[in-house]
Amino acid sequence: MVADADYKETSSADGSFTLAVGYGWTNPGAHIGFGFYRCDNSEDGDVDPFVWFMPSSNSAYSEGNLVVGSGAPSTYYDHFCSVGQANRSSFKGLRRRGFSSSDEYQCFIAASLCRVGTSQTTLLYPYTASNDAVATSISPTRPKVREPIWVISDQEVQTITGLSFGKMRKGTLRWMFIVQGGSGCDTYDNKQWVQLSSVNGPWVAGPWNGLTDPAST
Amino acid sequence: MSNVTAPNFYTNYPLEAQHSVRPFAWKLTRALKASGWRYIAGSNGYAKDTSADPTKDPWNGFGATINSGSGASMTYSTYLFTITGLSGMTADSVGRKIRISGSTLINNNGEFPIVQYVSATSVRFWNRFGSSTTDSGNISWEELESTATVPNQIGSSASITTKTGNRVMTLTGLTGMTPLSEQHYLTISGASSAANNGTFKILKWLSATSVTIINSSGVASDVNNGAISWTEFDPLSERYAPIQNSSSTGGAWTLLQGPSTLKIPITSAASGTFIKGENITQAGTGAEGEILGYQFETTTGFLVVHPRVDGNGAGPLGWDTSAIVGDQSGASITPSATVEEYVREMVMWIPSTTVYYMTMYFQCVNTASENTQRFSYRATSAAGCTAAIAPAGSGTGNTFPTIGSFVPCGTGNSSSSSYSYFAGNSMSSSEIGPAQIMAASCLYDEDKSADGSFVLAMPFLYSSTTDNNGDHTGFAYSICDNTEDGDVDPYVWYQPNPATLYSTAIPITTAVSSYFSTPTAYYNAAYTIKSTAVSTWAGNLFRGFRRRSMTTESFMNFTGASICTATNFTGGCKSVLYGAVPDAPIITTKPEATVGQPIWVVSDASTLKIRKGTPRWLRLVSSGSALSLYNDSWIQLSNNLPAIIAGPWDGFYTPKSSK
Repeated sequence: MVADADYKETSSADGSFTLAVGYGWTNPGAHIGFGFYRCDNSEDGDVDPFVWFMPSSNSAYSEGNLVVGSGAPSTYYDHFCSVGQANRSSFKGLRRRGFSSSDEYQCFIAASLCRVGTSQTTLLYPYTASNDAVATSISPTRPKVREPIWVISDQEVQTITGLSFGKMRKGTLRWMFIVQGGSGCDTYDNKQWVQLSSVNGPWVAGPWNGLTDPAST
Repeated sequence: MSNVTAPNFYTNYPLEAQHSVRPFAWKLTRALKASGWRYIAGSNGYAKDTSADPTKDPWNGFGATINSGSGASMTYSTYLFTITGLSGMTADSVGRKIRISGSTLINNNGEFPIVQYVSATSVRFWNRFGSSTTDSGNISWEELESTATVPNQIGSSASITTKTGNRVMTLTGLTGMTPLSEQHYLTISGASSAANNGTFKILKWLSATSVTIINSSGVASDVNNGAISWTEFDPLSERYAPIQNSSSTGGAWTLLQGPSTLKIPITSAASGTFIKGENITQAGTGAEGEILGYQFETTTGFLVVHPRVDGNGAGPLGWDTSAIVGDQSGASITPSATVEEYVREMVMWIPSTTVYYMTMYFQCVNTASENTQRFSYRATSAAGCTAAIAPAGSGTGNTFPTIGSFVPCGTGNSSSSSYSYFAGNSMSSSEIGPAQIMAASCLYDEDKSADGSFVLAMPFLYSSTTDNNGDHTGFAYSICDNTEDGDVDPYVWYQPNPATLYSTAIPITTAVSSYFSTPTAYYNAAYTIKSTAVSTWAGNLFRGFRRRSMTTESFMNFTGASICTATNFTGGCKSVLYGAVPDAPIITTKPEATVGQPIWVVSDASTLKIRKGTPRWLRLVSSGSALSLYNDSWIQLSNNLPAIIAGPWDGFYTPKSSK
């Protein structure tokens, strides 16, 4: 999926893209791949509101821009879900691009809503008898809650000599969100979005074309 | 300027030292009146008032001296004093205060409510802490106005020129008006049209000589234009006097009405897509509002709307069933039936002169189908609602409502509760510091929805003069942003208690006594406005309704959520704001750039999930200290991090942590 990269009247260029390759022989509905995303809810001074999603088995903030270290999570060939993302350097981008100081590459991690605390459970993670849906919907099949994926850094100490570090909210991915339940290749909003995993905290990506049924095999 | 701040409020009124939370509650009601909450009814234990006239509010304090003398004498009979030797007293003296000085007993001196007119030279007043006296000819006295007139703000040459939106009257010919006048009221007399006389909330400041006021019954223009008398008064400037005036078993209560939302039924899909937050207009009536949500499925649905301009239709707030169009989107829809108004009412009740606690009742009810459930209905119609017993506090016709109502603090249908400490267990005046009170505007107007949020925060002062590490106790009520489209009650209470999370998630139709009489309803001082420990946040933090007006609606306890790392753990997720390093944007040259993290109010209870939204006036920060200011609009309420910051602050005062 590639979002419109042209700009014109009333429309800014987006340029986001996702490559998701079925990997269902391991986990039905699973996909591997990567993406590049426009962020919403970015900081006012960020001249580069884009991030790369590049799943990594390395721990958070451990990859430098000149270090060959990225790679798929070692135990999960199911990239588009919350499983395997814990404290991994799955997102990469630039911190303070265009500033006179600390204008450098930085690793980012995924974050989402959970109860306030130091040891809590992500709201959308566990499968339950009542997957999170809009409570005040009048539909017989209440729509699922779509959780934004926050891309952030909560890095408090330097992990790679020479690289800047620090907290930052890069923003929320425009073309990816989390749901609870469902299966890989499920579609949403008349095939505008495609679910890319069947396991806990599956991610849903867009823009799909509104026409084609994504195939899982 | 109709967001109201009452900064650094403290009273050391000597006669109520053991009941020191009452002045803070009283001050909150003054702030709410200034922000646009409507006074509906109240009592001082001696008499009940249902006039809805803010000048007759029994909880009114006092303002300037309007009459005085000396050489008076007093007699005593069970807290009721009769004073003679006065001059100039009238029937209007009842409701005002009298200041006594010169008594040989210290507790007989002070300011007290006049409860009975005897003659031009004698009245009776109540003093709960007074005692038998032999004062004869040695008493000096002052009669004090029951509201606080803004100095020099009185005149007699005003005009009532226009009426717009079926509710808004424009006045000219005034003097000395300022933007702060939007927190005030005007008392008008001498108008030709009777409906133009009375006391009305100032809605909007236009110039030094002109404002708009709210008077749905008003007539413009008035025949006596140019010769209409007016007085401007300010609830926030009132000074405190004891609000209970009865025997030890007598209570005092007040009933205020807050913001309304509208539920507009539809049976066909909208043409186009409404934009959440856009202004919508009903051209047939002139009504306008802000669209909060749109729900439609097959053949039925509804809009949720915050009213902004009253129309001239036959339904609530002048809406009818003519077409509605979105100002920005151009989307349109025609209501399929009468528009429904959901009104919010709140009761504050101190049920006895000898207790520390205070009871609070709250409701969000349909003004048509659920009208008899309203506290205001009980106040005027129930025999059981008296000068001592609040609406819904028990008695004939005065049971707690069975729909749309809950108890933020205390016990429904009862005046007794050993658990309903208003703001901590048995706190005395030496333990509570200056309160910070904030109330967002509850006024709606063109391009402006009513908000109605408020915060009461009081620091603990265990050593009587110093701040106890910045801890504050209190409670808050806030409108929520980012609500679900079908939520007709986008508000929550912040009222922490230590009960097991969701333990009081009770279906709204369950008998009242089963869910308002449990200890889980109390507010414990140990759970203050801070977040020092996970256990604090693991409890019931917020209260409100789930699916109000819908099937399977319920009263719910909610918890707080924020964005956290470690997204795939079933445990171990850490809020981003926990950590030693402050959370600030990449441009950090401005201290106010500290990240103020929205708090998501949610329920993740199985089968009862909901995202209530993000309270507009409560956020989290990862740094700073208690009473730090952010953008001059928010103040921090704890040193324990992450800490809650609350607003709206006024951008002017410096909050203080000690007396």
